[in-house]
Amino acid sequence: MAKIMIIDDSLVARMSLKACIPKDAGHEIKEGNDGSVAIELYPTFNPDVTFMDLTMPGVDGMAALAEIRRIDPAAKVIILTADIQTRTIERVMELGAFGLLKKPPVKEAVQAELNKALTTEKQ
Amino acid sequence: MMDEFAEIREAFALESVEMLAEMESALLALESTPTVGDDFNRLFRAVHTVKGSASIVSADQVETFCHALEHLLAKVRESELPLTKELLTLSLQCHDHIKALIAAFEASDSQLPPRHEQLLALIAQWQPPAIIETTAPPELEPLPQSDEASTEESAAAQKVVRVDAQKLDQLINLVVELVTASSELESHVKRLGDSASFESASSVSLLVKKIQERAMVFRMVPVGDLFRRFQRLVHDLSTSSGKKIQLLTAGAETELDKVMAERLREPLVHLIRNAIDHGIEPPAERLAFGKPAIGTIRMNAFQEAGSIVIEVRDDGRGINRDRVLQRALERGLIRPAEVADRDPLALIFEPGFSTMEEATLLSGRGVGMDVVKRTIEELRGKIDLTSIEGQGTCFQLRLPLSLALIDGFMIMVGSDHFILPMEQVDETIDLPLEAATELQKRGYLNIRGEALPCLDLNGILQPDSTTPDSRFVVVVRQDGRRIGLAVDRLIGEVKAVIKPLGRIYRDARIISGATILGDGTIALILDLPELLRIHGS
Repeated sequence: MAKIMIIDDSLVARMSLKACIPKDAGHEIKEGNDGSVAIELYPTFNPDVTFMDLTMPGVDGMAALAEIRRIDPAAKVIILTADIQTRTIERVMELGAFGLLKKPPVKEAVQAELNKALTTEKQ
Repeated sequence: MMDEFAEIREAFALESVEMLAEMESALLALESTPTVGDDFNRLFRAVHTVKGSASIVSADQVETFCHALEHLLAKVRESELPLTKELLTLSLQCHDHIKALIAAFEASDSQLPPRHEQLLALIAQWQPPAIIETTAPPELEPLPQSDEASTEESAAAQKVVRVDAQKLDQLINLVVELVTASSELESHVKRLGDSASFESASSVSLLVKKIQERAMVFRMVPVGDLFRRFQRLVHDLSTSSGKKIQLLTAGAETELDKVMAERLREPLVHLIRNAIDHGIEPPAERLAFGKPAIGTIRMNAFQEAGSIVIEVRDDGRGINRDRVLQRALERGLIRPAEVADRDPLALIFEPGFSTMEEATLLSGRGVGMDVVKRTIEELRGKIDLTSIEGQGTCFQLRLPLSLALIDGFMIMVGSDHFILPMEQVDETIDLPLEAATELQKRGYLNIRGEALPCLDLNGILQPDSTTPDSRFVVVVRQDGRRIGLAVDRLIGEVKAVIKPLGRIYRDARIISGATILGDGTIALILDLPELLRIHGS
């Protein structure tokens, strides 16, 4: 059982991601629709893994990722984005993203990334 | 998984309305101040979100189109292109087009809205205005600027109002209650004998009935919504079964009751699984028989004679009747002596039947064809099966137009009213006194030389009442067989609102519901398949 945070301004995107996470594992999932929610929720919820969209109103995914990594340098944040451009990949990796997934989410990929995150020790 | 998918699609419908509104308001703000700032970012994000969500629900045309537009807008954001009035005009047209694309997707209309290719070409070839003048100018319709045109547009948008399905159900349930209450009121007032009050009560109940007719229409949804879910299923199952299968659908616009659509999903999933699992052969086997390697499942829906018909047809190997009989014998479903006069295809619907040697991943989930048949019958429908060996199998589901209304034939047994589903009634016959004794002795009647199996409803429903001298037989049809039902009186055709029975009646399996007649009398609706299952043999 793990704590998972899902941040995306699109309800459809959040629902489809949740559909990829096995229900029987009993993970506790919290959701938010923009980067500021992620930053606010992070210290109290203290998620094991965060899934985050990049393009969001207000605080976008890039900024939220940077802030979360500042709060918790060991935070595991998996970025979900529709267009994976080299520049974007470089930038999120620089900011310390744990992984990068392409939208729409594919069940196998999400589960593989989630398992990887959950089995990796926090450093 | 299927439920989740449907929920996500619903969320997409709601979200895209929001995003389109966001896009429009951003564009209108940009008209007055065309700068790449907050409003432009709002526009960009809205297109981006619609694209992302469209990809999730497999609205491919929407995704492709939004992707192209997003790509163009990204160039503007990166200052590769100027933000001009012309570009905003194009974007606004794209907004309208995305709206139309989403509407087409939701209506499972495969036809693209007009100017699709033209708009895509415009987006792809978009050039800053300075260059346009030296090359061929793209054909761009001026944005409707006049008040007249824009009111027309907003009037069209206002034609559709989104309402939570649950709220609608609550309203419809209340309307059904209202129909009953008002006819009760009418009959009470009638007894009071005050003609003015009675007249008012009658006109109220007439209005209520009209409201109810209108309300029922709200519950109708196009069958395409249901069909679309199966595209995904067929895709997934054909991949996992190593067969090549395409699903073709027709009649997606046919409307049926929302509740019925939901209840039909499981049976249809089962029929499709069956077609993939038992029907369609592996590509090599198909080629060997001179069939195309890709198997085809067709789902077809249409209205016919007051019913909704849904067909699931595959071009697979068909059903081997000998093997069906063999299996039925092994399972003890029939005795060897019965083999000659049992319809092998009908045996497939018997509980405990399965011809698949090995339970595969696809089928064998504890839902047999018997459950499919039972579900269809619970919806007051029927299922028929035709199959030609080597050529394929077709299941035909015939369902009533509405779950809440029944076209019935009313009869009386003793002093009680009962309703039989009209579509199952073949004919009515006077029952002569001497034939009545013959019926009681042998359970058969001789009707114009036909030995008609016959049940006496008086015996089943009202053992205590005395039988009148002149009685009638209603001949009904069930699973292709004609069966006579002896009743005391014939009343005639009725159109009735079905009220589900409360808990107390749950054990009364041969009664599927009740209706309250105009004069306040209660009539019970007979569940014919169940009645014949229990008392038929």
